[in-house]
Amino acid sequence: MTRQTRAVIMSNLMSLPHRIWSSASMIAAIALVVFVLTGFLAMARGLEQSLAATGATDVAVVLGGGARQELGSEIAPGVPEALLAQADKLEITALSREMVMPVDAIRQDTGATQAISLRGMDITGPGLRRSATLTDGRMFKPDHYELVVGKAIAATYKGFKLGDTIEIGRSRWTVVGHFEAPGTVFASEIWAPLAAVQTDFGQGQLIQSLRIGLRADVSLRLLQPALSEMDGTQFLAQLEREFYSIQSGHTARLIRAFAWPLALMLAIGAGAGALNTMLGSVTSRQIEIATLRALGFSRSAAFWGTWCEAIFLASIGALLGAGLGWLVFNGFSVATMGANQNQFAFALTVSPDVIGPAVILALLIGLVGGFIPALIAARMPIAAALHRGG
Amino acid sequence: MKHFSIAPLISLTDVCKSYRAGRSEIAIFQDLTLSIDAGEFVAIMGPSGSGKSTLLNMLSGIDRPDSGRIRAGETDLSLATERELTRWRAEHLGLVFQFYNLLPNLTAAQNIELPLLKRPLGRSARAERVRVALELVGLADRGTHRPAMMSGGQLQRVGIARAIVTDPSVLICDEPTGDLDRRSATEILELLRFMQVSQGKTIIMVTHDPAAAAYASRVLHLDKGELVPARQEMAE
Repeated sequence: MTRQTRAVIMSNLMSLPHRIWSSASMIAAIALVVFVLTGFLAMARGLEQSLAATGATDVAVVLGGGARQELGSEIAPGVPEALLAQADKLEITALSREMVMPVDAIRQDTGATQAISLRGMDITGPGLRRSATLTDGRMFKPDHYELVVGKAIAATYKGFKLGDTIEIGRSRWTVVGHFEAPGTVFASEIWAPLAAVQTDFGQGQLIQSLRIGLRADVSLRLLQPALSEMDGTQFLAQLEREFYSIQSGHTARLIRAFAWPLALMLAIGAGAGALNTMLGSVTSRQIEIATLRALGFSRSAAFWGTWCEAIFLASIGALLGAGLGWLVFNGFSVATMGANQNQFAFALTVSPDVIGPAVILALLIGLVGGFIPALIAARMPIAAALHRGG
Repeated sequence: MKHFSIAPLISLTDVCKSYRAGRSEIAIFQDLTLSIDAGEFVAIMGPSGSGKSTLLNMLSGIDRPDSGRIRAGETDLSLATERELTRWRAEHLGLVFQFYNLLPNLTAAQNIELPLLKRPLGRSARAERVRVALELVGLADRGTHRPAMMSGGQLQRVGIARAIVTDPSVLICDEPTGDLDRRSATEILELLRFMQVSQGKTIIMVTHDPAAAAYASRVLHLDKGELVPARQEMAE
């Protein structure tokens, strides 16, 4: 960049206080675009991160009946036993039979009823979720009507304090423990013994899914052929991480598919605002521009001076929008419907890959909105501009 | 700062210039021929609309004739490209404006430094030239002042310092005293004459003021785009 260009840029930037309101409106419009886009992308990213954090790479999830999620899946009763019989050969370290039931819970704040997940599991189930730690009380006992509740659930819904009893289905259950599983889907679940859940909801011997601990992620290659040799149903075996990332992928894509058109529409508005602001800037500086051109400053200096002003204002808008977005959205907890049609809470994540696209869009607004005014500044007829000024 | 540079001889030969106003074309100059010698102090006078500003713009290389030739030294301004004209202005021309045209956000010294930014000079060399220019116009202690803190006469001195800081051979002044009181105007005119006499500058000045024109070594009278004898112009 030449000294001339730097001088024009500095002069333009120093004169910004004289155009404070038009500049502020451009900054605000661009900040709004970045803020909105950051919010949506943070939601998509938070969802992905939460579901990715949920999944381990040495735990397999097995579904049956051609289902791709636990609701609708069914595993025949003999399958777990058949797998455990080959545990060494298949490199299985643990197995938990599981089923999920949506149950109603009442929010403490609004009194609204929402569906949350009650997961029936074998006593091996909690151990297959290494991200979960028992914080209060104890683990449930097999065949007892006992609940171990995610702390977030206990804090949000009525009746889940330690020692509380609560009616779910046809029985009264006792809350015997609380667990934490930060940033994972498990945090939004209630765990109970499988047999008690099956009996309470009259589901007989229904098993929806198997959680299988593997010696290593490559052990899945041993598990799949073993499952395909079993009779009766079509099995789907996935690593837990893959299982959740596929689930998150659909929702995250949906959020982004909504976010980008909205952000682009806002960006068009902000771009028009930027164009207007920069045209005003060129008009108010036409004598300065013409004077500098008359003094021997090049057209490119006039062009870059104006363009850089637009980019500078867009950068401030981007920083403002991203900063506000980070303050407001980062860590903000929201709930959505999980794959099992139950409430699933996760925190929005404003990460660099969320801010990056939003900031790039803001800079594009500045680049596009400032380009034509910069061309006008560069091609301004010097004599006419000086005459108007005189 | 050099005191004597190779000054161009400025010449206009059969210059025609017209402007379009709606569907009609208004002729400003028809076959205007004029030459200005190096080291001259030329005042251009004439009523409004006589073509003074247009002539000044063409001499500055910020406007072009429709036909005819304008030469400044070795450069044919009428054939030069936009880029060549820009470079020519930066190298050979100092411009002084009626309303000073200083950048309000820069200090006097920063304003004066602007034309030097295209030169291959280091920061200290530029600062030295600015210091000398400020001294020449009698504002050695005002370098850090911004335009808003200065009087009209001081602003025009800064304008002149900016025009001479690159040591151009030609100073083109568009009514340099038009916005000043009599005392300030006299100071500015004395300064311009000093630039001509002691620095060897060729000065071309447009003015409405006969007292200002009296400082020039030659006065050109324009009327309806033609050079006319002084008495005829005065009678208008």
